[in-house]
Amino acid sequence: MATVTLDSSGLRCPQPILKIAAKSAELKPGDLLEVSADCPTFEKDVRQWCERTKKTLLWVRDEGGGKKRCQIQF
Amino acid sequence: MSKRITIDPITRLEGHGKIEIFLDDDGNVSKTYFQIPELRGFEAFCVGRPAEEMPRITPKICGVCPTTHHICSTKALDDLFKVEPTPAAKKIRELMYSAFMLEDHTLHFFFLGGPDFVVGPSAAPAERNILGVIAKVGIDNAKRVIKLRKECRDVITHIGGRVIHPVCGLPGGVSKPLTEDDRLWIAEVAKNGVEFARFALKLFNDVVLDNKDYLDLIAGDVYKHHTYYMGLVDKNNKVNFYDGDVRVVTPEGREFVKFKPKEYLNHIEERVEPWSYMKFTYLKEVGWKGFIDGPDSGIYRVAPLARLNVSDGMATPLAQAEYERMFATLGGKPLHNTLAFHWARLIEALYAAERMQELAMDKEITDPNIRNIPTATPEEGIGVVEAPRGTLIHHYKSDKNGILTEVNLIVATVNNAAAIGMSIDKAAKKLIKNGDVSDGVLNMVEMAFRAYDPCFACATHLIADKNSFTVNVCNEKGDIIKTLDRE
Repeated sequence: MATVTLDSSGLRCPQPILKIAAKSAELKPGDLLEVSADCPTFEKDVRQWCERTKKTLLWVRDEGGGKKRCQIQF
Repeated sequence: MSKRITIDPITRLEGHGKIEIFLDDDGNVSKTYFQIPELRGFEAFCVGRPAEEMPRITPKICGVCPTTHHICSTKALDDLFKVEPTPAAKKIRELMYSAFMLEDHTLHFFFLGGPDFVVGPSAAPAERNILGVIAKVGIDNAKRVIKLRKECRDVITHIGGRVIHPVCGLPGGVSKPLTEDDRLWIAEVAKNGVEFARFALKLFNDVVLDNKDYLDLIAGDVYKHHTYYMGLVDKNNKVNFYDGDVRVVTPEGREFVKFKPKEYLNHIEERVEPWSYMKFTYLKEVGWKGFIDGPDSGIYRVAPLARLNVSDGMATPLAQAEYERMFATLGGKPLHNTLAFHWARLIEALYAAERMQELAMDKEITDPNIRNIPTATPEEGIGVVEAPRGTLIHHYKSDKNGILTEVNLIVATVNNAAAIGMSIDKAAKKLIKNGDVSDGVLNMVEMAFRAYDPCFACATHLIADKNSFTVNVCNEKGDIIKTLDRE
């Protein structure tokens, strides 16, 4: 089980989600993807993406300064 | 002794171009060239960019039709990321697009093509322009033109974020929903748009169709080519600017082929000529036979008259009535008269206003669900729309990270490039006799391209003196005997 990190800081909607979608092709069931982003709609988008792709959103953390970090289990 | 006439720059179009006319010893036309001395290069320098940037990059191709490139690029991203936009998002996009088509067609008739008719084809150049049109139609009507365009561009600004180079399109939707107040305001703009388009058609009727000389010019042989036609149609084979299948009809008006946008490479081929930076497209199944018309030549035409020729009608009632009147007046379908593009354009303006009104009256357009999140790995995407100047195709391929590996753009005017060349050649040969090349005659040669509303604006932001370019010196057979480069 691997943990992969993805820094989407500075990218605006829809880019962080597109980066997650692209990265997901490399991940296997059970792998973890940890993503950080400062797009204002990031949390809403990532929740919707996980719901649609049936992935588990383990947590979303507010890191201050508009930045959020989340972890997705594949 | 033979003589060469150069019209450079040609006027009242988007972008740059020039016409070279070669006269024989008797002063008659032996050959003409319609040249586009600009280099776009977007297909090359977009490779390596993230695909999601394309709806913001490609509108910079043109300052006149950026909305077209934005929407087409966004549709290509829908396909690339395999995500279907929500119903509200589709309607918002089409609403903005309809406002754009209305204002763009208005721009062409009143500012670019119309002066040839409203002021006169042989009028002094100082009057043959928008100011001459204002003098003819009156200041109050001129204010209506300006007001209509401003209102449409306000709608584009509100939905698109910016009037030039909009930014609202996202793969799977749009960035902002419409409120109920927005909807009511846009419905009012659309209502005014319908009235305005009817006024423009009445003006065309009074000034052009009631003038026998003009009607003869439109219906005559100087501006006529028997070609294939291509355009998007909806499921009922009605004209559609935003979506649908691509339909092609023969010079006799029979359906030649109807295909899905993603199949375009099976039907359209591009070729290059050594004397122009513009590519020339033709129907693959028919083949390239040179710059000639007829059923054996793969040259086809796009844009307003082509769209009306390929369709079974208009999807809105007022535009449908005008559609029937045009074909009844000029002799049935398909119409091959190039100057009838102007009439068809105004009928499409009416359709755009009516469609805008339909969409603004649809309460679903205020649904806040405006975006579906992409979930698939990107690979390849194709987007097609009907630009004011014809069918526009964006085709992207990317790696799994969404970085573009291949870009192909068939810009609307490219589809008409071969036909424009033929039209100029024919008009020059018919109009220039025994060395008579008055300003009025040369303007009537220019009218042959102006009817298509071509857009060569891709490179107009470059300063001509700073461009590097190559000059090929050819012998009488067309063989290159010397090449000159300027850094």
